[in-house]
Amino acid sequence: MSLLRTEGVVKKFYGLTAVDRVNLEINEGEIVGLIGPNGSGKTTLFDCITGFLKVDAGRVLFRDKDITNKMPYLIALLGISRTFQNARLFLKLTVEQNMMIAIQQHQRLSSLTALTERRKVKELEKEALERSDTLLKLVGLDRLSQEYAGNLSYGQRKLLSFAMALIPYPKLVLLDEPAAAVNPTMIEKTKDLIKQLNSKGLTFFIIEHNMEVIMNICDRVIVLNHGVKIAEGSPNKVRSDPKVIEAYLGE
Amino acid sequence: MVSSLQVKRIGGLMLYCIIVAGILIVPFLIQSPYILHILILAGIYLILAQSLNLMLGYVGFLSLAQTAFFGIGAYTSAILAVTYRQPFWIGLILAIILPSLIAAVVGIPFLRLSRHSFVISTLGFLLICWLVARNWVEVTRGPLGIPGIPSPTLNLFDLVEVSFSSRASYYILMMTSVLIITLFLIKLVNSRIGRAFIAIREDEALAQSVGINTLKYKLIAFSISAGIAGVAGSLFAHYITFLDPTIFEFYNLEHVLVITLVGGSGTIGGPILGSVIFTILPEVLRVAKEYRLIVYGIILLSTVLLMPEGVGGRFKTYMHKRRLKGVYAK
Amino acid sequence: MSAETIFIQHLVNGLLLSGIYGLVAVGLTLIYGVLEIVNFAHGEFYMLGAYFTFIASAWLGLPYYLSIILAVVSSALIALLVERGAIRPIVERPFESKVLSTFAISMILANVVLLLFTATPQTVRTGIAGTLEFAGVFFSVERVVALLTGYLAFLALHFFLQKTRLGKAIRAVAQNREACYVVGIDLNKMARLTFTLGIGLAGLAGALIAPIFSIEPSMGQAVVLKAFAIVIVGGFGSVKGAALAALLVGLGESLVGGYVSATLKDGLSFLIIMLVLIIRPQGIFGRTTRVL
Repeated sequence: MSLLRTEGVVKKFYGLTAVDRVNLEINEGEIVGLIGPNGSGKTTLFDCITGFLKVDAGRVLFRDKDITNKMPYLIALLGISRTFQNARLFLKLTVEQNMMIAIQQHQRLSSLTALTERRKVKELEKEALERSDTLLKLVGLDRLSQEYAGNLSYGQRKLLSFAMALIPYPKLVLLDEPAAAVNPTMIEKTKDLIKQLNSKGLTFFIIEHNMEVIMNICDRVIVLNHGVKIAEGSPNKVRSDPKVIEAYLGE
Repeated sequence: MVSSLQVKRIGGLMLYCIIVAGILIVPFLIQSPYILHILILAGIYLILAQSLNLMLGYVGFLSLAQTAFFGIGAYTSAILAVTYRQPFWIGLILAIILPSLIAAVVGIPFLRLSRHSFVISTLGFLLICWLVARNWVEVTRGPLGIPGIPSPTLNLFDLVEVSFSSRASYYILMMTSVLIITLFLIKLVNSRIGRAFIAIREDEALAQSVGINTLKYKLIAFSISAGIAGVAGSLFAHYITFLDPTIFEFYNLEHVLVITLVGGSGTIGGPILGSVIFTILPEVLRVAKEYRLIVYGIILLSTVLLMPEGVGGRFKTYMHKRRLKGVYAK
Repeated sequence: MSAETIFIQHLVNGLLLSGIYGLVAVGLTLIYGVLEIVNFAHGEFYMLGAYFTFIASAWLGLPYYLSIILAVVSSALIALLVERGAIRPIVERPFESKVLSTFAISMILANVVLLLFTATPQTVRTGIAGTLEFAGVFFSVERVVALLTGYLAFLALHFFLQKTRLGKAIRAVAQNREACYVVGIDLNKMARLTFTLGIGLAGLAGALIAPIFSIEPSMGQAVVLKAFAIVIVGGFGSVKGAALAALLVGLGESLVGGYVSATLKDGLSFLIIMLVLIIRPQGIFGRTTRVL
């Protein structure tokens, strides 16, 4: 069953077409890679899917529901999570506070009750702390929960943003370069995590330059060049596609 | 058995009672009307500074419209008291409601803008208010101003009537308001709502991506901050007893920016510290208003350049580091 | 006076205002483009330009054209100092710090002038007072001089930005900062140059307006809001947009003031700000259409 589908998505900046009529489909339970030379529109496409950019034409459908140009927070609440390329975090807050901010958005509580009903809030906070601890254990950051996010290493930051992306019980997670600028041990860890979560039914859509990672974990790869989808298929098939080779060599 | 946590809590409560008692006992110890006058004004600016602090320090949006809400609150209260002969309490309540509503309405377009445009649009809003106050003569009496705003009175079921016409009694009214607002803000910023504010301040895009409806929280903050500024305005109008469009002048805005920034935005203690500093400082400096603003400008500039987190912010960082040391020591 | 004569006078006054606002706004928009700073102190430099003219003509007894040059050079020199001391250290800081820094500068400058010259309005005498007759309509010489000089300065600026290497570099930075690291443009140098140039233009505007209206320390506050309105309408960072919007606001103010009401004239620029922001809520500052 298709989980995410884009139909002719177009995004222009100042007359320059960054994403050009892209059609793609991601099925439930898949791990799909998104590759392409620098500036080929990969992150822009992510931004269009998650509502951070308004598309100029086309539609984005999530579980056959039109989510085109919806506010990013609504898309997040619907079940599409994402990480950012440079592992954005609330740097001045602690690891645990980062997690708590994200978790509380998925607990049903009106703003007014948050101020008045003490007991209910206490209960929810306890739940949230437990969930934060579980997820931090999963990515191996539980011992750093009181550390400022700004003091984490780059690899640790990526793990924390990964953990935060898991908070809304997402159906689909978009990862923007999870392995870039991370040491080999951390890359292995990330790969294991993705596979482990995927085996439990979570779907992934991953931008990555590290071909080893792509070959290793992806079921399917989509290639963008100058905003146009130029190839799609199994990692091995895409790797030997002359159009793809040309795109990378022409860089 | 009494646990250490309970001891701590009881200790905190006692400390709190001592502070409250200390603040409220001042007029019985100091009879100097001049000192009380200074303290009352400091209280008004503190409330206004906290309203700015909520937007700038917690949500991360610099609003220059806080003195506009201050002025709207003051005019609402003054007009109700003078033109419509309503009691102070009704004026005060409307001085909270009206600015909050206006903030919610103008906030919808303003808060969708980038932080850059937001600053300018709030400045534009302030100047429109100024213009309206000067030109809507039928209601505001224009530059002539509204004289004879009565002192507040509290009428308890026609049994007791308390008048806040003396300096000492106004001081009590003032500080009670300061305490209530401070407590409310402490509760607010430490609540789940406060956490969402801070998330927006730190990284709005990330806040959206974890599911925060940022516009909603920004609107909540803007409305609350406008209401708080309205309280300050109402208390100002009934204290000074005269109101004219100069309330919208930049002097108030500059004063409040300096208090908030130097004290440290993003902490509740910061503006309190700032208003203490800037209550004492002019008395020590004893200079003309023109010099004072130059000095304030230099202080503001140095703070932005050298200590952007303010005195209070620096203290907070220091405390957190100490606490963190404690955590790791265990 | 006939209706046509009055109309022509409003028109010429509008063009004069447009030129003055344009000079102030272009500096503001360039500074935003290159330094990403909304300069709240910009109006104070316009005010300084006027006061330097006053000093030069009333105290030093210089002829008007020398006073103008002195005013521009002095404002630019102060701009260099300010850039060094208060702008460069915060270029990489969050937007709010930049605003507060320029706000503090504006407080200092406005109040220093208030202290030195008091709030009493001053008049600048140029020695070129008099009237010119053109097609039956009379204009004061000072206005004509201000009008022509203002538009001449605009032409010179246009030439500088379009034709010279330095001007092209400034435009490049204003359009795309990131790309400049690649091309190897010295951003610090561009920032200093742009800031000084922008302030110099504001100083010139002040010097030109000085003999026409009386000058006072608060004159900067009034003009900077109009400049903001112009820059918002024209699109932040765009010189062409600012020039066109200046024409709109200047003529609009003159005609509204002449035919509708003086209050509406004062409020026109704020109304324009609000209107544009409501019609284009995605933010006029935004260089891309990013939601956040």
